[in-house]
Amino acid sequence: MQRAAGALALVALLCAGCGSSVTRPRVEQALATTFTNLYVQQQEQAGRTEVSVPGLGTTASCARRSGGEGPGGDWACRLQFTAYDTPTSWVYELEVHPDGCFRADGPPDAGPEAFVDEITGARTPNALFQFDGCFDPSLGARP
Amino acid sequence: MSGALVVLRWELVKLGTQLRVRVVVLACLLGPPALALGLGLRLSGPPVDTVYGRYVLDSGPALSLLVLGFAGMWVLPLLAGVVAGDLFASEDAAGTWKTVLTRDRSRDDLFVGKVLAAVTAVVALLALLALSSLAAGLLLAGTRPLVGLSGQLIAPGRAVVLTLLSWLLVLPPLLGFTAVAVALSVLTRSSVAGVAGPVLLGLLLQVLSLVGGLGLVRHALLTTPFSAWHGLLTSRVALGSFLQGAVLCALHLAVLLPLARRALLRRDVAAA
Repeated sequence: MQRAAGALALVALLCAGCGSSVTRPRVEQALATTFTNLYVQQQEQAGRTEVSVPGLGTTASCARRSGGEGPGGDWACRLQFTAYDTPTSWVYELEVHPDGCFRADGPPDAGPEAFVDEITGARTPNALFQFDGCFDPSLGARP
Repeated sequence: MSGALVVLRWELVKLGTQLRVRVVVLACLLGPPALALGLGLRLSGPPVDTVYGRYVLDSGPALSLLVLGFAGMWVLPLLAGVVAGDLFASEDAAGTWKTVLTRDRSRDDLFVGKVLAAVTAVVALLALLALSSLAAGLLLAGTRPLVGLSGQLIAPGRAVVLTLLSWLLVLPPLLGFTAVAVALSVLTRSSVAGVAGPVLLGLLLQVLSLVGGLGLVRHALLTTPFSAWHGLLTSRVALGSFLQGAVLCALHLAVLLPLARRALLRRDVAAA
């Protein structure tokens, strides 16, 4: 029993630095997908149906300020997409959790405003200002 | 086997009379409606720090998923502890081992019956919490489409089904914590250790996985499978976390239950 616990602790110690479920491609792909889905929905709510998920061609490039990968609150991602023939680039701050979910915060000044006016004139929270998303953190998951 | 079923029935009756268990049943039943009432009356803003917290006023199933995400942190280990942590230790505390073992039930019947009672009660409590939170959420926010964890829109009917399935996916780690409670209850002979042990273990593992640079070791912690339901709600359904978690929980059951059973079978009751 004690020997097993000791072996387990040793493996844990040896393996503590050997990778994480939170990788850059997973974060980038999940952020780009989530943002694109939310963007298209928001445009549809505003009555503008000419944008589509593939049409935006969203790409994300992410990095941690402290370098490397893994969970943390210091991920920054640049999202680039083309809507209405205008290339656009927004930077989001991400807090990525060990369970594969993240919270994305838009920049208060340059990015999406806190509120958008819908056709009805009602003011609702801008779904792009702050949103959550998740990727598959399991062993051997894509990408 | 019929002996174990008799034990199961009696243990369930005994559980139903315990104040601690009744309080937990009431909390599972009334907690989610109270939360919905507070959110509906705008006593506090939506809890945006937890997944689905920001959508509780937009779509009914969101409240249930918020409760599920929160419950995985310490509520579900607590349910396991309250139900299973006392089952064996209470016989020590009351000095009733001699009495129950002199009946025509074998120790095996007794062990199997008590474990089955714990599993039955824990599953019932989980179902109660799931249905109560889903009903409260639907009353609060109605059946509008739910935003998925990839930002995709999920149709209302599908969202309700996925929410119920999400609750099913936490069953393996819940049973894992029930096994922890059973093992503590038998081995320590202390109700306090049996009831509080699983909660403390759950909190410890949560803290470890949040602060420690655990890397892939995180997949070996019994609390990790509590978030496997996220994979149901992304646009590309991912069951890898659930399957890996199920294997992990099965390993816990395969080690802890035989350990507890052997300890009970070998115990010298006459000398106690």
